[in-house]
Amino acid sequence: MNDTICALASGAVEAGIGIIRVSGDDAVRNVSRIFKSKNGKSIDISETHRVKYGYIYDHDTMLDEVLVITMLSPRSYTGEDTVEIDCHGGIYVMKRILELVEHSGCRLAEPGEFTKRAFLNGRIDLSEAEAVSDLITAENETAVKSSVEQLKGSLSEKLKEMRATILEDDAHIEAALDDPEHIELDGFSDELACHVKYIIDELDRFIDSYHDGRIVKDGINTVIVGKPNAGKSSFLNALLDEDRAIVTNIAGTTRDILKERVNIQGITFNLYDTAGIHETSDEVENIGIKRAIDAVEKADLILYVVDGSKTLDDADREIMAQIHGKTVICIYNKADLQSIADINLLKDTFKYFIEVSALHREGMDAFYQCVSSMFYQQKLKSDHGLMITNLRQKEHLEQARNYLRNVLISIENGVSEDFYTVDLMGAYTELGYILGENVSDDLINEIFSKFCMGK
Amino acid sequence: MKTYVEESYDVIVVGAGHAGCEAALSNARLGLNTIIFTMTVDSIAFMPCNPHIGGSSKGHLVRELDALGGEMGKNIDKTFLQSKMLNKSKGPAVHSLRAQADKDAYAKEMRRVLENQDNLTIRQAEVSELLTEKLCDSEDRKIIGIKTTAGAIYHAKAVVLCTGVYLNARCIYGDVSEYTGPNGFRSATHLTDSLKKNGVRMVRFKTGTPARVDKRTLDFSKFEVQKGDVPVIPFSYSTDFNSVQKPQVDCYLVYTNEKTHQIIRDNIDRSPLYNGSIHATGPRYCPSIEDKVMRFPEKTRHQIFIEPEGLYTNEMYLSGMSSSLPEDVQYAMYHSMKGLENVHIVRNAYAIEYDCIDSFQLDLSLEFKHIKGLFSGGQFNGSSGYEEAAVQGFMAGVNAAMFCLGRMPFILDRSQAYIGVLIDDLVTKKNVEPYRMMTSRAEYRLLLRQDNADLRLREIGYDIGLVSQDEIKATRRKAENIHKEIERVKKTYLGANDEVNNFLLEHHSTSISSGITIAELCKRPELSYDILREVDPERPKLTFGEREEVSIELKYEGYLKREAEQVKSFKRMETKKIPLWINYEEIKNLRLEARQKLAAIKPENIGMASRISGVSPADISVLLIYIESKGQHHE
Repeated sequence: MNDTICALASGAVEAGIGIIRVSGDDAVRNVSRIFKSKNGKSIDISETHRVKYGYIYDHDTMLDEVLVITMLSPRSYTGEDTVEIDCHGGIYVMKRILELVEHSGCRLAEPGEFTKRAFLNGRIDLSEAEAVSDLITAENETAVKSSVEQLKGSLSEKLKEMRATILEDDAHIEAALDDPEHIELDGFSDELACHVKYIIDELDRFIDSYHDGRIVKDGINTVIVGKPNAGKSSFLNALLDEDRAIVTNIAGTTRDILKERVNIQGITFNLYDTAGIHETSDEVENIGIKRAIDAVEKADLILYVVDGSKTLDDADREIMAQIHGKTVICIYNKADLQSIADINLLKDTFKYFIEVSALHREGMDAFYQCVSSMFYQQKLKSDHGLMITNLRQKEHLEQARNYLRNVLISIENGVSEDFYTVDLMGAYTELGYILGENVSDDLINEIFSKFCMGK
Repeated sequence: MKTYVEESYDVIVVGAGHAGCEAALSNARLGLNTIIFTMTVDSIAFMPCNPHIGGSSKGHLVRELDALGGEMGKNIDKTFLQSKMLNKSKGPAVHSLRAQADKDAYAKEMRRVLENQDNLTIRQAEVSELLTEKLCDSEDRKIIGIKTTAGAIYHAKAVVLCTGVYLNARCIYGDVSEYTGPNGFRSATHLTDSLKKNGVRMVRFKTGTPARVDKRTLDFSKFEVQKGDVPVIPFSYSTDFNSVQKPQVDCYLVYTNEKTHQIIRDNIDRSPLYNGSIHATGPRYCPSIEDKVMRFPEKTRHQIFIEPEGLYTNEMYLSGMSSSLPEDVQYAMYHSMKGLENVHIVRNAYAIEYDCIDSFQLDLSLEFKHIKGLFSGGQFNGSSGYEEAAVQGFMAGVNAAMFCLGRMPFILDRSQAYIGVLIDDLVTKKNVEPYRMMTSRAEYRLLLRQDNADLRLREIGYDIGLVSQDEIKATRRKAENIHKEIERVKKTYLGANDEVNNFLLEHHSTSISSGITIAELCKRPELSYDILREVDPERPKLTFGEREEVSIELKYEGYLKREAEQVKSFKRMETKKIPLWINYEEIKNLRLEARQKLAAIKPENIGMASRISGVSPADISVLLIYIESKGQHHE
C-alpha cells in the first residue's frame, strides 16, 4: 500500500511540452477527476498503455489540452499504477495542473522518490542507474540552493521563530511527561492554543503569498510612465473605463502618484500614474518626479506611454534609460494620428510593444492579451519580501498548518497533552523541510536545555 | 607445573547486575549451559542508585520485558514497597508504572531465582581477558571464551558482557577519589585493556547518586507525604492481581531553597564536575544538584523526594540531590533544607565514572560487528538505568542463545517496542551521554503503550521459548475478548429515546436524534466506554485489562489509525536490507558526511540508514540505486 505521488517529470523549465507524472494506487482515480472531454464528460483512462486525448479542468474551467497515458502496475517506470499527463501550457499552466493533481489526493514527490519506488519495485533501468543517481544528487543540490536563496531574510527568520516556539512548547509537554513530578502542565493548553493560533495566522499569510496567488490577490505593481501629455491619463482612463476597475483613490494631486486597482482577466493590477519624468525647477514637481523614479524602481511592470505623434527627444531617452532592465510594455499612443515617433527604435528596444489609441479606446484588447500572457508565462514577477514561490514550500506550509489545526482540535476536545505532540512535531518537521534543517535530536536537546529534569 | 581450571559452557555472562541477570536467565531457560560471573555474589541484582523500578517510559520497558519472558517485572511485584501509575491524568500512551523497591529484598529475590535456575552456574571471579581468534575469511574475530584473574579458562560459543559501571570505575566527591565501583564494591581493572586489544573503541561516561540518610534524623512533620495508588497494578502480566494488594510505605517531598542554592554556588569551585577533575560525560536528564542550580538559576527551588531504601533499614534516599561536592558542603546543603536540619548522612553522594563502549560497534542484535559471538548489554553499552540495562541484557542474552542455536537474530523494531527504539537509537545515533529512555524518543508511542505490551509482544516471547503455555493462553484469551467486545459495541445501536438522551444530558453530552453506536459515543470527549456501561445492558464481564484496551481502542481510534499508517510506510524501508558487501567509498554520489557516517555505522537496512543524522533523503536514493545496480553483479 503506497500513497500516490506526483511531480513535474519534465523539469520546471519553459518547454513545448511538460509531463506530470502521477504514481501510486490512486493514480488513475485521481487523474480521472480532472481529465475530461471537450464537453466536460469524463474519459475512461483505466486501460493500460493507451493514450487518451482530452482536457484538464479546474472545476468548470478548461485549463489545457492534454494527452493522458496510463501505465498500470507492474508495467511502468515505478512499477506502480502510473499516469502521465502531457500538457503544453507554459510553466504556469503546468503548475496549476500539478496543483489540481495534488488536490485530487496526491502528495508531491520528494527528490528521487520515483526512482526510489522504481527501485523498491524492482523496476529500475540499470543502464540509467548511474545517470539517474547523478541527476538526483544534482537536483537536490539545486533544490537546496534555490530554497536557501529564496529564503533569505525575513521569511526564514519567521519560520525559525515559529519552529522555536513549537519546539519549546513540545519540549515542555515532553519534559512534563517524562518527569511528571517536577514539571507541571496545568493551564498549559490555553497558552499553547494561543501560540498555535498565532502561528496558523502567520502560515495563512505565507500560503496566500504563494507566487501566483499572491499576485492575483495583492496585485501587480504597475507604474505608468511617460512624458507629460503623452497620454498617460487617457490610457489610465481607458483602462478604468472598461468597467473593470475597483476604484480606490488613495492619494492626491496630479503631481503626486495616483493609485488605482484594476482587474484585467482575473489578474489584479495596482496602477500608479506618475508625474512625467522630466527636468524641472519646480520644487513641488521635483518631489513628484522623485517619487515617480522610486516607484519605477519598485515596479513589477512598467507601462511606458509614448506619444506617437511627436518625435522622440532627450526626455524620452532619459525615461528609457531610467526603465532599462525592467519589465516594460511600450504603449504607442495616439496611433490614430500621424505617427512620427521612431516606431522601429521602440520595437527594437521593447519586447512588448502595443499600439493604442487611448482616446478612441482602440488597441486595448491587444494590450489585455499581452499582459495576461505575460502573467501566465511568469514574466511578471512580484518581489515584495515575504513570499513563497515554490510549490514544495507551499505544500510543507500547508502540511504544517494542518498539523497545527489538529492540535487546536485536540485542545478543544480536551484530549490530553501527550496527543498534541505528534502534531506539534509534525508541524515542526514540515517547517524544517523548508529550511533544510535536520530534526532528529532537536527535541531531546531542547528538553534538556530548557527544563530541569532530574531524579 | 601450574594447572588451571578449564571448563566449557554454551554461554558466558559477565556481570550479574540487572542486565546480566536477564541475560543469564534467558539463556539457561532456553536450555543452554550458562555460567554467570560476578565480582561478588553479594552484588547480584544490586541497586546502587535509586530505590525504584519503572517510571515514565521505563515502566514501558519493564512491561515489554515481562511480556517477552524477562524476570524484572515479576521480581519487583514480589518486593515492592509502594506503587504508582504516573501521568494518570494524561493519555494512555504515557501512563507509566513505578514501584518503590525494597532494595535488599529485590536483590535477594533475584539471586534466589538465579541460584535455583536449571542450567545456570554462578561464579564469583573477575574476568580479565576475552579469548578470541581471527576468522579465516575476514578481518573479523570470533569469541571462544574468557579468562579470569586467577588464570582459569572458560570456553564458550557466545559471551555476553554486562559489566555495568565497573570497568575502571572511579568514585569522586570533593577532592576524594577512589578507584572502586558503586558502594565501595571492587572495580574491574583488566577487561578494558583486553577489549581494546580486540579493537573495541571505549569511551568514558559519568553518572552520580545522592546521599543516603538516617531516617531517625529527619523531621517528617515538615514533609509532604506521597502515598501509593490503591489498588496496586502489578508490573507483570503473570502476577496475580490480589497478591500485590498490600499495605504500602510512604515517600516524602521536600524542597531545596535559596540558602541551599547559595551554599552550592559558594562552593562550586570545589565540585569536581566544575573544577575539571571529572572529564567524563554525564547525563543531562539526571543532573547533579549543583548542575541544576548552576544551569537553571531562575529556579528558586528544586523538588527532592525522600524514598525508603528498604523495610529493614533506616536509610532513606534523597532523590534529586545527586552530587559530587565535598562531604562538608553536602552536610551544609542538606542541613539548609526544612526537616533535614539535623540530618545524619549514612553514605555520601558521589559521582562515578567508568569505561563503556561506543555503541556504534554493535549491530541490532547487540552483537559486536567485528567479534562474532560477543554480545553486550546495559550500562556497558552506554545507557543508564536499571530498566534500560535489563531489557538490553535480555535482548543480548536471547541473541547469544539464538547464535548458539543457529536461529535467526531476535530484533524488535521501532514500531514494535520501546526496546526496539532504545537499541536502534544506541546503534545509529551518536550517544554523547548515558542513554535514558524517554517517551518522546518513541515516534509511535500511541501504539507502544504499557497497557498493551502483552498484546504486542507475548506471542514473540512464546516463539522464542520464554513464555509459558499458561501465559500465552491468557494473552490469547484477552486478545479475543477485546476483539469481540469492540466488534459488539460497534454494532450496538442506541436509539434516540428519552432514557438515552437523559443519560447523555446528565453527562453533559449532546442528545441524539437518530440511532448511534456505542462505539461512536465512546469517542465523545465527555464520555467513555466505562461511563456508557449504564446504557449498555448486554455488556459482558471483562477483566480490568480487557476493559482498558477496549476503552482505549474505541476512544482513540482515529489517532491510532493514523499512527498505524505511519508504521506501514516505516516498515517498507525497514525491510529493505543493505547487503554486507557494500563499499561506501565507492559510491561517489554520496555526500562525504553521509559516506563517512554510513561507513562507520554500517546500517542493516534502508530505514536505519535514513535515521542516521547527516544522511539525507537524496543520499538514501543514491544508496538504493547503487545497491540495485551492484546487486546484479553479486547475484
